[in-house]
Amino acid sequence: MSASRQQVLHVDWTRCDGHGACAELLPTLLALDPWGFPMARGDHVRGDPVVPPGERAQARRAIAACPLLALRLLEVPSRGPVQRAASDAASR
Amino acid sequence: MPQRPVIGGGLRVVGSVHDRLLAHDGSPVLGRPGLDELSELLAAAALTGRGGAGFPTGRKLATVAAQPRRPAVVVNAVEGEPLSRKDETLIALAPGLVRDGAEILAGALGAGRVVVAVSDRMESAALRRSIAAVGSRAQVRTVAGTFVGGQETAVVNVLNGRPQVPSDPVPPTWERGLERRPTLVVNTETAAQIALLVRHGAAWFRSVGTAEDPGTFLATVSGSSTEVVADGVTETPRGAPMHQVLGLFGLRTDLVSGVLVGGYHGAWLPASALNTPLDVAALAPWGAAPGAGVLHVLDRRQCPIEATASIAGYLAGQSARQCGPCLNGLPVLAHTLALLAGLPGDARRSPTRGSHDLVARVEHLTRLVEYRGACAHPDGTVRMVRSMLRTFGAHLEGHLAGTCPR
Repeated sequence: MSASRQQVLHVDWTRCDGHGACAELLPTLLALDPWGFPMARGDHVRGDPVVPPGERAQARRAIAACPLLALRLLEVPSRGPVQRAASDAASR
Repeated sequence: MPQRPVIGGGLRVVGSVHDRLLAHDGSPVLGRPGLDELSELLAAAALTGRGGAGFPTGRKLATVAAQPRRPAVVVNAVEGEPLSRKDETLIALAPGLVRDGAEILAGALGAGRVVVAVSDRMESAALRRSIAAVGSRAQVRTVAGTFVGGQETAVVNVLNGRPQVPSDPVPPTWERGLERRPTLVVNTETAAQIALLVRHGAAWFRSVGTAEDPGTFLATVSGSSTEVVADGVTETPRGAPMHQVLGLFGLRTDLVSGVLVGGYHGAWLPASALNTPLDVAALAPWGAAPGAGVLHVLDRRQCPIEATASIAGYLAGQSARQCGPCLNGLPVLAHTLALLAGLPGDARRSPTRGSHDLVARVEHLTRLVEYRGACAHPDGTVRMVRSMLRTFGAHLEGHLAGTCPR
């Protein structure tokens, strides 16, 4: 991974059911919102928490623990958002 | 100026000297540039998508073209935004341009399939005739004209035989979309603009609009009352002052309290900003963008907080109910806004401090739902709500003090 890339823990919100295992395994990265869904505590890229190198192994454990398979690690540019489907960003 | 037809629902189309799309004579655009030539044209014209996000079309094309598999092209005419009627207008009045834009993109990409997805709320017979007339291979598919059903991933999902709801943006549509092909999805008007660009060239395209944001766009005008402005569609250069466009529809400036620019996912501008040019740079300080060209004028006799609460309530009901923060958060946000709108009544019974807590609660809820959905629905709703807090701050103070100052 080059210096201009970073890893984020991407949440597929269409899958996430608020089981909460991820927030339990990654308490420094994730809290739970009032409805029990994971929420980034600190740095995030469009909602996906940035995973520092030291937390990667634990993030993989969280991915494996998610019963809905809603999590994955994504490598994204250090600045700038996860690329969304372009026309999803505004209207409609 | 030729007579303009009135299309479905009594929609008025107002012609002007700026008409390009709407003045089209119906003759086919015959040019079929290769990928490099089209890419150069799009870059030189600085064409941006006219569906809402305003992404540079040339960059989208390049991203799809760089994928290893044979791509597909989808023209998105679903127009789920209830305040927008411009795609419907184009499909009715200039279907050949939409068809030719789709063919041009498909030709440049060597696409395996090209589909125009139209809403079941619009009349698409003219488009079907126009496609049949030239033996175009573009297919027309009628899908539900629901609010989030027009999101790019929802359109691709329904064309793939799945439910018409958005899906996770990873992998993106440009990587895996229609039939799992890399898929270029463009708005109806973007396709039509491409057809004219190919016919007339980039210098012609840039001869109206601003240097950074050139060309024309279709605006759909509506009002919260029939007195403040009439409903309709018109074509105007980017950078045209907002009041000039609204003036074509009989705007009563004395009755305006604000304009929602960009539709239900857009941003409120105050009446004092009526002269704002309708281009990306001039609208950005308001947190707004030309988007899909929706201009909705609020009559000052109506409460802007109530209007915002009502729109938020509609949007909460439009959630695809897939993503927890959107499903749970938007109804609470709408309810809190409704409490804020009803404050003059409640304030007599509750201390003002509680009212300020409601504003803080709205702000907190926007932070809870922002970025936390598969599609643009939560983010767009948050944009609209936050713009109300900024633009109608003085009005809000009135509510907090116990009177609605409308």
